[in-house]
Amino acid sequence: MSVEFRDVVKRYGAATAVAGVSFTVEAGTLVTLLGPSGCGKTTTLRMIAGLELPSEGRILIAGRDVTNLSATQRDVSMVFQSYALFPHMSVLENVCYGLRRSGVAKAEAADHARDGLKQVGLEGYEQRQPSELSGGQQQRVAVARALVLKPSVLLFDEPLSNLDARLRRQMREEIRELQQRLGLTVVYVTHDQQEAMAVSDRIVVMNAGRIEQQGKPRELYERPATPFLVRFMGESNPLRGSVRRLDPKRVRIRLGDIDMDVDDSTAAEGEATIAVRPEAITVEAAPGPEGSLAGTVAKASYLGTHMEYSIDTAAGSLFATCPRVDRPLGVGTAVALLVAARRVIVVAD
Amino acid sequence: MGFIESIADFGNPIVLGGDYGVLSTEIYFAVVGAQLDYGRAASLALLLLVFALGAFFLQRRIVGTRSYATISGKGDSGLPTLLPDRARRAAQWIALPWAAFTLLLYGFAFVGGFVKVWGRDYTPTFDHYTKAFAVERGAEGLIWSGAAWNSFWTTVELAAIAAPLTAALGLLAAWLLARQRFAGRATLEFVTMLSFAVPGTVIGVAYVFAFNVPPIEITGTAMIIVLCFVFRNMPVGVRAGMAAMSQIDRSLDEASLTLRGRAPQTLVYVVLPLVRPAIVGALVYGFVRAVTTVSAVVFLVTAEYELATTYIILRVINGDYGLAIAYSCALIVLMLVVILLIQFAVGERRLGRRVPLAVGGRV
Repeated sequence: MSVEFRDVVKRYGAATAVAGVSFTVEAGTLVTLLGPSGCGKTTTLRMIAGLELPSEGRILIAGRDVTNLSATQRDVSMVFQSYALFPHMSVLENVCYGLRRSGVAKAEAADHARDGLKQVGLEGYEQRQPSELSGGQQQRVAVARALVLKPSVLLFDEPLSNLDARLRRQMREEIRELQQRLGLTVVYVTHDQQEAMAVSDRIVVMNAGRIEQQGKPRELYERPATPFLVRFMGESNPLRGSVRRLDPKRVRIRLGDIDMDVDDSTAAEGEATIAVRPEAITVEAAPGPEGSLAGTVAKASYLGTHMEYSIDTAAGSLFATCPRVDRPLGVGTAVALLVAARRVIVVAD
Repeated sequence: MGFIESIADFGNPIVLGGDYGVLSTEIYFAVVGAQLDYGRAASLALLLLVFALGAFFLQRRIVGTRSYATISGKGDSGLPTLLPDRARRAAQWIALPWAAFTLLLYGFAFVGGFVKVWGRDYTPTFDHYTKAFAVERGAEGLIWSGAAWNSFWTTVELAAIAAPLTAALGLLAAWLLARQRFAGRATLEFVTMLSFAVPGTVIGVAYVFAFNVPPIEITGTAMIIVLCFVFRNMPVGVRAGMAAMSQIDRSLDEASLTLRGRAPQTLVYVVLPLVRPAIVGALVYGFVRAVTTVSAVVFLVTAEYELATTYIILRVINGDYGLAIAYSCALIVLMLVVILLIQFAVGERRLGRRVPLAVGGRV
């Protein structure tokens, strides 16, 4: 079922946590609320759950106005950051809890719960206590517990933040796989843009209680609309350069001593901040071909899969990655940089 | 807290004090003594109240409010940290002599019940116990002929009624205060704590005055004693409950809510099982205080509803120490039995706690 926010505001006393937010989550999709801590994303999620009530605006779930319904009255389940498993109940009792409170008979609830545990790959763990499980297993119990209620909307609040890096990737893949297999409508909160890009159909980027931009992961990364997004979505090199419009769809950018033509339909002419993604830069030994930017290697680090370089150029210091690890360039080497125009973004100041 | 307890204490000064009249005993004698001066009693009570409330406000300002969450939804309650060796020795040096001193006192009391007259005639005897707790076999079964049985059973009965009520009301109030948001929350918290700060003697006087006249005329009934027990001892249940509940991660409540558990169900299935230690504490405290309290109830008892403590005080005032000691020992045994029963009935909280040696053994 879909979720819709219409101009929702949440105030705590004088402080405004969410300042007028509107978005729609289509049925059967996974939408991530992404932003730095304190941006209002968790408050927004809690308002979907009914754990917080909005100060203004309307919230619709499956077309029904649920703005003033409490958490128990909404057809929504949540997986908490801390998992919030009941420590005094076994795994099976935890998963049964929601069914039992909904009035399902004990034996039937246990059957459903076993099915739920099967979905998350935890058969045979029914009688364990939560404390006897690893972090990833506890996470799966929390997912199963939310899942067995067959909610219209499933909410995840930073579900991976308590797991180590390897498990994080595995769990996020499992969550995504489960969501697609069962056609669930999921709203997912995280502060990690890689995690968001990996699991989401759409991302809503929030900052200071407002939505900065929303769209598909690729749109946000390749065409960030605000300086905040450029900084927040992945790495980028902010450089100063000048912009001249060629035609309604293209501009010519001057960076240091090179020119390049970039697709852009909105940028104004004149001085601007130009963001260059590290992976857009190809590092070659000097002298490079025509149209390359001359520079000197200032720092070099070996990261196994790739090299990271800091390079001083006429346009400023640039951070670049290079996949050629077997021929590293030492500090002080003169280099030529080729910049792929496709990965260059003119940032509205 | 120590100050309030000391200034309001009644039982100890009346037995030990001799000529040193403290406020609370003065009030008592103003009411029951030859003076029969209710005005004097009321004004002394007011004075006592001012002192105690002053200390109470001071304590609230200093301590303030803090919150600690140790039971989280991650299902691992961690391991208790061992004290450093020196700190542990220092704690033992303070605690062990204190424990020894306490044991010695109880030992004296226990032995005192089995000798003729403590201090003069140490001939062993069961006289005091038979006088207090004699049971005879009569035509219609057992006859509880001992002098103490009447007050003993009254005490047990009233305390047994009061303790669960105290615990239930206390924990309910604690839950409302710690977990629910509603108008007047701060006021309710203040009021529940207030009755703890008011000295028992003052409460006793207040109850007599308040319930001696219509519309609620219950002075002299068992109900007034139970009421007094419940409201007097409830704050401890509230405090214990709030402390225990503030240790439970709120996300557990919220998880229950999003899993269709309404607030009362959340209380019953999630919160209460996790605060079992507080339930035991509130029940035990409710019972023990009901059995041992003197100050508040001295004005409320009647010949029909005489309580153990007031009976003992009267024996002491009459110089009958042997019987008083024997009775006291019986009460101590009773309370130990009841505490064990309560712990058995409510049970321990089952929380998965790792075995200390297995640290780092899990992924």
